[in-house]
Formats: sequence, structure tokens, C-alpha cells
Amino acid sequence: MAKKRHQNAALLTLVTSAFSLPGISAKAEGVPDSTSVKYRYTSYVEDNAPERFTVEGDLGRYKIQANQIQLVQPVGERASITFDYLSETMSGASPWGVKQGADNQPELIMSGASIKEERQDVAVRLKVYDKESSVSFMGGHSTENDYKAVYGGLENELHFNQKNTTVKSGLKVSIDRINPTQEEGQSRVSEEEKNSTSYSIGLAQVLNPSAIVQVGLEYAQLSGYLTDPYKLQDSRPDIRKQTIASLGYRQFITSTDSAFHLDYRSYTDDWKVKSHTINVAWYQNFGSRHVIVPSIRLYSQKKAKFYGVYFEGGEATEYFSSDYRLSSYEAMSYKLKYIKYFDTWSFTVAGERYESEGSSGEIENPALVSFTRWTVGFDIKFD
Amino acid sequence: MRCCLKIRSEYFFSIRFYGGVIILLSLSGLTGCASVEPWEKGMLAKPEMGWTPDPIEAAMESHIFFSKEGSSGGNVSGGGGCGCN
Amino acid sequence: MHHTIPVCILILIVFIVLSAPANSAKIGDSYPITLPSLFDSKKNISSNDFKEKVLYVDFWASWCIPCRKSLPQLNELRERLKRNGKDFEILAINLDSDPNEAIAFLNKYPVDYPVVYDAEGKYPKLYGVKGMPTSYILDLQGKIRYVHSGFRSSDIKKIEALVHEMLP
Repeated sequence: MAKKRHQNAALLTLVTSAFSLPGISAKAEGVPDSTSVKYRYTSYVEDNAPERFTVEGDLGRYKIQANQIQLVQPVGERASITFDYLSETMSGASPWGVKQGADNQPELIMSGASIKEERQDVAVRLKVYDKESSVSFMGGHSTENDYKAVYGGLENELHFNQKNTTVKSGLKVSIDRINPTQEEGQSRVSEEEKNSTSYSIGLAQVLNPSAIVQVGLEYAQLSGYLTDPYKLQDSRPDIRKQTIASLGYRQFITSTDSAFHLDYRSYTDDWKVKSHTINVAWYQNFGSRHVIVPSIRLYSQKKAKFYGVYFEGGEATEYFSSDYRLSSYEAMSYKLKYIKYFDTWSFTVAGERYESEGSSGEIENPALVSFTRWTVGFDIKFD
Repeated sequence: MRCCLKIRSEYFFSIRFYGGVIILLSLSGLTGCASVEPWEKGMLAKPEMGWTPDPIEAAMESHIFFSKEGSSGGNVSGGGGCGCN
Repeated sequence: MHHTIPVCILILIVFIVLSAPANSAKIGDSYPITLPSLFDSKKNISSNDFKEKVLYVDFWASWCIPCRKSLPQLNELRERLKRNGKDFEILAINLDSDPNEAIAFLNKYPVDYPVVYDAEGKYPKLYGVKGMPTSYILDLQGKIRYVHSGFRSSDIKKIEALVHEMLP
């Protein structure tokens, strides 16, 4: 009997040695262990256009109500599939343009209040995990009555150094079709296309048991019709090359049971738009059931080379725009979020206030936006 | 509020500030990163330590910023479309 | 801005160059374990207590997501093997930095087998644990016969088959 056991053990050694080879008997980490459903309702309300600068149109700017649903479903033991659905209703007036008023004051022309639009976005992502890597395939579709986009992407993650180092790379492509619903005074285009491709590479490194850092680089190229068909004075190049560098840092603080988040992004493009974005968040746990997250975001942007607060008469230059989004400005936003965990689900509520203002030494574009956002929702896990 | 915004942003957006942050991080990485064992990752595994703890809300935020600001990118999430008015 | 990108690339290169050498237990090796019980730090439990049994050594932590499945399923497997008269035992080695988190986990997912606590992470280093959870099946002589990292439900059948082979 004992002898037989030994023989079996020897055989078993051979068999199990093969099992213990890397990649054979190891399960990938990170695969979701159960089905989950997330829902978010968002209310986004922009402040009214400034009355003293607005000479035409409606003061009431954009309001958006959005519903988002996400379903994450494990597929077998090495993959997961994620469905995202978004439906949003947008209403309100939008800035048409800026003209030169008395004393060179900019005067804002708003659209009528009639705009009401809907957008729906559906996306699917399949993520396949291996022992030291994962690959994601993503595709989606966004539709508005005047704008359709089809997009897709590939993402790859490779883990090294006992998973202390992760290299990520990604490719994203979007093909957009614009069919502006023309309003009076604008009849620029009937149908145009816009394509964008983006390549990214990133590296995440565990620094110590409580800190991790990430750096990323992204290059994106937009081509096609990049002009805003809803602006009165707008003509933009048909190509835009963007370079984005980003830095992320996460630190857990045991003594206070909290996590510190720092995210920084540096952006530059060949339209000479430059921006810096910094986001700082503090995740404060209260026991294992409550989390409060205050955060602040600072944004600073330098204007595009063809931006002017207003243009009068026939334009001498090929490209021009008075779009506030291409102006020099600074923005600050504050956010407060609360998460309450129950056994199988959690509840989330978040409020955000965003304010922007023109950079010093520049005439402020009166269309610069400020908004308030509220988001409520829940996450459910089905074990 | 307006004055504070200016002073703060000038400091936060300076290249030196970020240069300093990056150098500090790389130094701490050099001294500490090779030693974290798989069983020491309990803190890093916490949901609040994720790069994007709430991806669905992050997608909404990045879509808003993409629609309302002059620059975009640098994040993994975020869908397509415009909603740009 | 002009400095940011080259500095980031530099960090990338520096981090890629860094890598950690790792110890790893081999099939046939024997590393006896003696650690205090998670629930009673004065009471030591040793792997030698389970000689003449096939011992399943399981390295786990409360934050490890697959462990939420592996611990309850291993507990069921242990019950089943015991009913079938197999000399099988599980020794779970908890690696939480805070043992109270492990105790809270076990209150939610209780197990009947012994759980010890390795505060210093001595044994995972010795065994060369590369992921959570990682398990080792020790034969009647206390030698490692099987190494397995990660956990999926289908593993239970494999483990059961192996135990049946080792204890015919």
C-alpha cells in the first residue's frame, strides 16, 4: 500500500509539475467575479448667458438630463463583457457668436431657446484576461439628430515585475457624420465627416504597498470637418494634431483610512491650444460603509492661433473662430461625492460646481460657461 | 474668489511645480518599487485606490469636459458623439 | 510643457529597467510552517501537526477577490473528502496587514479548517507566492506536490481528483 502511494506520488509529481508551469494553472487576476449593474442619473445646468453682454437670443443656456446604465458580465473565467447605455436630453440656447459692440465690448449672440435634442450612446467592451496581460476590444455608436459617431478601440495591458509594473497601450478610432439641422442665418453645410484616431501608451508603477503612479502619452489626429457648423464666424483647419501627457498618483493613508488622488494632464495641439488640467481628490472612509470624496479640478487653457473674441467684416485670414472653447481661460470646479455601501449594493450622490473666466490680459469671451451638475445612482452586485 | 483663482492657478500650472513632482515620484520609485510583494497589495486593491473608481461617472464628466473645453484626451473612458452646443 | 514629455519618457525607461528577482518553491521541496492561529495568537499551529494527511496550504487575504469564492468552496470540498474518509486537511495562511480584516472576512465566510496568521509575510516569501491566492498541496511526507496560483470554481474538481490520486 505504502509502495503504491509512492509510485502514484512519483507519477503525480510529473503531472503536477506540468501544471505548475507559468500560464497553465494560473488564473488571471482582475476578472470581475460577479454580474453588476450600475445606474446614474445626471442633471447638468449651465448658468444663464450674461444679460449685459447678450444682444440677441435667449439667455437660458443648456440643460442636460442623462441616464446611464452599465452592465458588467463575467464570461467564463477569463473574460468580461461590459455594456454601456447612455440617453440624454439637451435643451436650451447655445452661443452663436460674438460681435464687436460699443467701446470694443464683445456682444454675445445666443440662439433661440428652441433647441431640443436627444443623444443615445451604446457601447460594448470585451476584455480578455491572461495571467500577465489583458486585451480589450471596444465598439460603440452615438446618435443625435444632427450628429452620428461610430467608434472603436483596442487596449492592451502587460504586467511585469510581479505585477508591480503595467504597460498599457491603446488605439481609438471614431468616424463622425455631421448633418446640421440648419436654423435661420446658418446654412453652411449639409453633410460632413470627421475622423479621429488616437494612439496611447502608459505605464503604471507600484511604488510601495500604499502608493502607485502612472504616466501616459497620447497622440490623436482629427481630420475632416472640424468647424463648428452652429457658429456665426467659424472656419477651422481640417486637421488637428493633439499631444497629451498625463500623470496619475494614488496614495493610501492608513492612519486616516483615506486615499489621495492626483491627476495631471498636459495638452498641446497644432492649433496652438495648450492646456493644463489638475485634479485632486480625497477619498475619506468612515468605517466600511461611508465614503466622502471632496475634489477640486483646475483647468487653464491658451487660445488657438486663429481665435479672436470677435471678427468684423470680411475676414482676411483663412481660419477664424470666436468659439469660447478656443479662447484663453481658466476654470475651476469643486465636487463633493458621497457613497454609501450596503451588503450587495451602493448608493452614490455627487454635486459639482464649475466656473470659468477669461485669462488676464485678454478680453473675456462672454460665452464662457459655468455649470452645476448633480449625479445620483446605484451599483448592484449579483453574487 | 476671482483673485484666488488667478494666484493658485499660476502656481499649480507652473512647469517647475510638475517637474518637481515628477522627479520626486521617480526617486521614490527607484528606492521602493522593487520590494512590493503580491501579498502586500491589500491597500492598492481597495476600490478607492483605482485609477477610475467610478468609470460610469467619469465617462459623463469627460464627455462634459470634451464638449465644453478646448482640449480633451488623456483618459481611457469616455464615449463618442458631440453634444457640443 | 516642453520638459514634461521627455521627463515622462525617462521615467518610463527607468521603471522598465527595474525588475525584482523572486524565490520560488519547487515540486518536491519541503518547508514546514509554524504560525500562530489567527483567532488565538498564543496558540501555534504547525504543518507538522498534519503529517499523514494530504495538506492543502492556502495563502489568502481578505481583500483578494477570488478568495471570496475559494474559501467557502474549499470548506465544502474538505467536508466532502472527510465524509469519504480521506486524510485531507487545509491550512489557511492569512496575509492581511490587519488581522481584524481577516476575522471580519471569516465571520462572513466561515470555514472549519485552521487559519494561521503570518504578520511578517515570512512563508509566502519562502514559498515564492506570486499572486493571491496561491496554494500548495503537500503530500504525506510534507513535500510540495502541486502549486496553483489564482482560483476558479472549476479548480475544485481538479484538486479533488488530485487528492483522490494521492490518497487512493
